[in-house]
Amino acid sequence: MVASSLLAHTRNLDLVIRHVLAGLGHGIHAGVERGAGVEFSEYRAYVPGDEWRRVDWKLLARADRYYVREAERDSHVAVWLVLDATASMAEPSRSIAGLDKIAYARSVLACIAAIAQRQGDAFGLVVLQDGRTAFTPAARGPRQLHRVLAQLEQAEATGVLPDAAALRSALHFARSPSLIFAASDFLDWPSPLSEALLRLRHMRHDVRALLLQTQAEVDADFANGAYRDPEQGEGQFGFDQSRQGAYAAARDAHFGAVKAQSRQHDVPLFAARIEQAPGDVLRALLKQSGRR
Amino acid sequence: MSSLWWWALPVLLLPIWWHRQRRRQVLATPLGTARFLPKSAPRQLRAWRWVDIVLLLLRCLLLATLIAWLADPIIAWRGDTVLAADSSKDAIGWFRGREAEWKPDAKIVVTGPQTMAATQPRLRHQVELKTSAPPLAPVVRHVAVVGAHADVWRAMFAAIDGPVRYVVDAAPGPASVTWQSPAELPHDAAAARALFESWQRVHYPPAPYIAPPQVLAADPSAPLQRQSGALRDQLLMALIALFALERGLAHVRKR
Repeated sequence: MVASSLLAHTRNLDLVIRHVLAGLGHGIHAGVERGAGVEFSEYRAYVPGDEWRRVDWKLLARADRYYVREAERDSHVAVWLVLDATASMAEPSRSIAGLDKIAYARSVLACIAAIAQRQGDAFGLVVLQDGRTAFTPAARGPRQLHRVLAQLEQAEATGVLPDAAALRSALHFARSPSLIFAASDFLDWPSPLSEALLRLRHMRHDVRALLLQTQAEVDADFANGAYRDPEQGEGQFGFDQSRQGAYAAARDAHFGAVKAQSRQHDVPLFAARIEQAPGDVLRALLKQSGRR
Repeated sequence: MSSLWWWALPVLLLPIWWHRQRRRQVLATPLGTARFLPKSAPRQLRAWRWVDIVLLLLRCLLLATLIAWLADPIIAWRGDTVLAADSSKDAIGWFRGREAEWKPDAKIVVTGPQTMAATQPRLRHQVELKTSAPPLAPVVRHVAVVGAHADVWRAMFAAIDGPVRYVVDAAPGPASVTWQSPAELPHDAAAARALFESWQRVHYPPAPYIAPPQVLAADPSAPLQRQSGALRDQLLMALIALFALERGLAHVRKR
């Protein structure tokens, strides 16, 4: 299993996917829809990005060409990945140098995209960044995976969330039943993002939220000194040991409210620390999804 | 009056303060969950530190130059001096106009012929006049005599002796001055001299009187003439150059 410190050393999401998903049984949703190679339908030519295990080796021996076994039907479920790339997502891990929330979110969403691609699901990406919504329409196949990974690799944590109206107009994608994974720090709640997620849930989509935190935030353990909020601009905040209790109380109150509201609206919220191994987090996230 | 401008020097504290404040704001590190912390007053720095030292120095220098330009200072830097004058220049008056440029204990010597002033000049420095009247150069003047008793007057002009000689021309010409002789001759020598002097005053300027050599003692209570412009031009040039530099540097920093 890959330790999260390794995420700090690479931006190559292909590499991350290959390491994180090694040995991880795949499957986002259990159900009647078939994944890769469950029920044989046809052969199609190999394209770079297809998994080697889907290549039909006997056919290779006969025809001297690579063919891939296609499943009978593609899944009807579209997977949507929502990445919050606002300035607060640049929050670094205070114990692992070079690791921050945005890199972690990028890696987890890339792994989900890879799993969806292997299952034959359509998947798309929404990046919320700098007051804008960058939108990659849902599609299937290895090319789509490359497209989504390229978008993810470009996403830098800057700016604030788009306003509610802009986000609402961007959410017209959800016609067919879809599965929505949102990775954010949920420091703003209610926010345009939280409203959009609850709205999608009310439209009977399957919404799962990944709440990213750092170990330092959980322990309320920062270096003494002056801090400023990356998104709210003015003002300074001092931290020392005497303020630990107040910080923990305010934080618990906020996330308590967040969890209560997400439970009330039946949106599973999985809280993860970015110091945790991404494979564990992914497995827990998918297992939680699979229970439903 | 204008030396009151030196009281504006505390204005220099302003750029120092600005540059220090900016440093204090930079100090806070971003923290995503800062909103859960109570707000605190910006932390005071123990050690004063500045950003953009070059720009700060430039701005202080600019303000100091501006104040100096307004205050228009005069620096006493000249020492003992010999003023070589000729009779056409008023060396004492020139010296009094910029007396503040000389050090208080400087001694001044004026050489050359120097016209004597009507009253004794009051100066803060000791001034020694080493003047000498030059020997009068021989001058030849042309006179044309018209009117009555012309031959008598011609004889008188020819008889005048000394550095000034008169040449009597037969008829008035461009080079000669006309002597219109009165109808009757003056009766005594005094009347004749008065007549001659008034004629000369009309046609020739009086020769200046050269002051005799003497020492003018320093008078500490002498009024000092208000004077300006000694450094104004240089300060103005420096001001313009500093302003251009400051704007350029600030623009580069802002990028």
